[in-house]
Amino acid sequence: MLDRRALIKLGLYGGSGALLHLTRLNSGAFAWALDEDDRSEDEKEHHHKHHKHHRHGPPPPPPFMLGLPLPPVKQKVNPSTLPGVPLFNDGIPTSYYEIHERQAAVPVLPGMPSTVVWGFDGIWPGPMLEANIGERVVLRMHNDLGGTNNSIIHHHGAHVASESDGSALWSQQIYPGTFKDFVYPNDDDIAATHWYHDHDINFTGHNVFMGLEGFLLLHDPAELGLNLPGHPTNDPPPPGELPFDLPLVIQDRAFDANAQLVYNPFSSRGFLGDMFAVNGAIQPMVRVANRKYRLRILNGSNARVYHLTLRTDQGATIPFNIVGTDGGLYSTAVQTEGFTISPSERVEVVVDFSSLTPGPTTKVFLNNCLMQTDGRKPAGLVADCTNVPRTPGADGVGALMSFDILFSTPDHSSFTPDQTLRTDLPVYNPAEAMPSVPGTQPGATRDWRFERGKGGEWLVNCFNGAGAQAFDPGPTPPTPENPRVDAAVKVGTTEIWRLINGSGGWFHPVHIHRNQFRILDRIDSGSGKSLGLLPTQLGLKDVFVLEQNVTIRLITKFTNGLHATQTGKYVMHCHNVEHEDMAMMIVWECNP
Amino acid sequence: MCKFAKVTLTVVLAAATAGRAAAAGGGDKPPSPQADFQAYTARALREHFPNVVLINQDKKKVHFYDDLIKGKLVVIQFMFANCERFCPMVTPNLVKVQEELRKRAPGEVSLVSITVDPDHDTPEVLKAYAEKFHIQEGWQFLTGRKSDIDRLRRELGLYYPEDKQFEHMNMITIGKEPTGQWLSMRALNKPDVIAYTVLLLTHRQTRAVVKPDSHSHPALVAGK
Repeated sequence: MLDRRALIKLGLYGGSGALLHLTRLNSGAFAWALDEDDRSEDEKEHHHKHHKHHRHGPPPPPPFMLGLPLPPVKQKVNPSTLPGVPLFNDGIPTSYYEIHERQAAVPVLPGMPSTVVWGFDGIWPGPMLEANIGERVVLRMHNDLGGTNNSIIHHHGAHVASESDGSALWSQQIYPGTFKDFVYPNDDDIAATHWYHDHDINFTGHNVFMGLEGFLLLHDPAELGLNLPGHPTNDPPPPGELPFDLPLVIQDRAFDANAQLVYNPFSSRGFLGDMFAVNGAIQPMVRVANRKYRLRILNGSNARVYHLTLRTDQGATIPFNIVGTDGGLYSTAVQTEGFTISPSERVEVVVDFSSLTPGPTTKVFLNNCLMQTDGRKPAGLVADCTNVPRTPGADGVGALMSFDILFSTPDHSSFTPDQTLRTDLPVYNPAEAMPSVPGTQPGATRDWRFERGKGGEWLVNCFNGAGAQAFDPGPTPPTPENPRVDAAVKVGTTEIWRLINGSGGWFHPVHIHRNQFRILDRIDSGSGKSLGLLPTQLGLKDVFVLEQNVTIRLITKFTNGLHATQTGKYVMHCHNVEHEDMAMMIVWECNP
Repeated sequence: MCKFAKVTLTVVLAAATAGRAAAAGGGDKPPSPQADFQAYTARALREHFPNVVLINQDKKKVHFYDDLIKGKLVVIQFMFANCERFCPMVTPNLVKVQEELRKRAPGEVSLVSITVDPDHDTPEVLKAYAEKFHIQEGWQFLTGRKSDIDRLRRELGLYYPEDKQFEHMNMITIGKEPTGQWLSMRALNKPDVIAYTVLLLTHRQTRAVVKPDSHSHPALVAGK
């Protein structure tokens, strides 16, 4: 019988997938995914010796070889093909869509077996939904995944009635082989880059990791009137080229030796992958012109944070003009060399490649400069963001994709870094803010503390102890019991919320459903000193990055839509989806 | 010895998942991911569970994977008999969970409590502990080697070295080995919330709403 030490002596251990499968001592497909600090000394020694410089899964494909896929735009269907679907006779334009969540085997790693994904319509990422503000969307979503997994669909970013929001409530689950209809009124938002994704209770991490996410773009006349790069009618691409408005979802993924996605459901800190996909392709290249582009960047990773920069192959910086974030465009653009993007955040940028001469060697790399080897938090920026590896290692630092500047074409768009983008962003008066709680004064805040309890659980506003409760996604049929509601707000009121991270050890990207918010301040939780807003926090936000020891003060007015009302139960949760699955989540209610 | 390469055919499988579980837990040949990804995932996770030897309150030796996990729907908890902070609340809470599950899914769910204080918690101590709480059949209390137990805690994501030895007692792990569905939640959740979470993994709710002719997936049809 060969034990581990014998195999090590023979030089066989760790070098052969087959032998790894036979040995089992913490050497399975998941061993690398174990956080370093979780290992015993013996395991650490073994791991360093044998896994530091190579992966358990296959090597990543050569970088910048695969073409960037663009998710197809989903086509409308006639409601007559959807028996029982909600019909409306209120004159509001309504578009109907039907999507099937399916398991499919798709080519991801060249030369390897096809990879099983769970995708909307069987593709990863799913098809792109597009709608205009004021256009109602009815989405029929089928759970045809074929296994035993339930699913919930969340329209991330929008004002939606509770029953269509896709909060992690048991009443919203789509059981295998069934479907649910979701109604998105789109009448209380502005043009923005939203997305839709699975939000099942306890299993969002696995479901999203397997591919259940897609873009959902909203347009309005103010945005279209700007004629930004890639305007659908004014600035179309030449035949055969990609549009100049590119949605890019960045995701870290892990694969086993059979090229299958491998997820560790016990990764309570947050699951990290060691290969990097943009729109479902590992480190793709995209053929572009030396002109301006609009990029809609979504961090679709479970727990990884990125700091993105653009560098030419000569090391020169191409600045980002940040034109918008989660909830839509800014008033004016902000220019920056790089920005940090946390799970579920969207950042819209305009980049200008016009100073570059097209040619086979003219490339611009989208680099990640933020190290992260632990789901708890990133480890910091690399010292030199210019010289990062062409292929990121397990710390995530390196080039995620390349823009290959290969042709010239007229630019019919208009964008200048100092132009006014929107004049209609809501401004809320903190003096009017008051939570709907008896006895409070104007200016009072609702406070939410995000922390890890001594019992190992993720908590919001609950110290550990007898009275503390975890997230309750009730009611639990057939028990007629309501979920615990942690806050009740009233339509028409303005509130300030403080999201508090008092820990130096953890990082929580907090997402609030239903509303968009303005960030008032970003504060050191210890000293109370203002840290100033990040360049990605200047517009409408639904994701709030609680870096270590950071408190965010945010403000909103709880409004209804032009036609639709949005009341009922919603959630707020950490969008490190492993923390979310471990119920770092509360229910809040919006009352008429 | 590579315990996990051997074929074990002793596990009795629930009818609803018989075919799937056999593919996941039984044979030597890994299931094809393209043909049955859930079985493939369950098989991959199998590599994750240390098959360490534990001893239950009746002094019976069991293997963690082979005897406690494989083919089963299971609730796993770490505890210790002298625990004064959480366990006095957690154990009665899980007693209520077990009562609910015995009513709604009799015989389908097993509970596993593993001590983190094996030096003190001998099988005799654990037996007395179980009797004190009137623990019903289907719930084992286990002790074993400290290093094995710590490894189990690490592999289940419920142990960080910065924690003091006896912390992290407030979480439970719930999983269904044949389908590879695993989650962790707070042990002090309301018992009906925990029970419903477990029941969802039996697919009872699912079967209740699926019309007989609307879907032919074996997991659903077999359980009707």
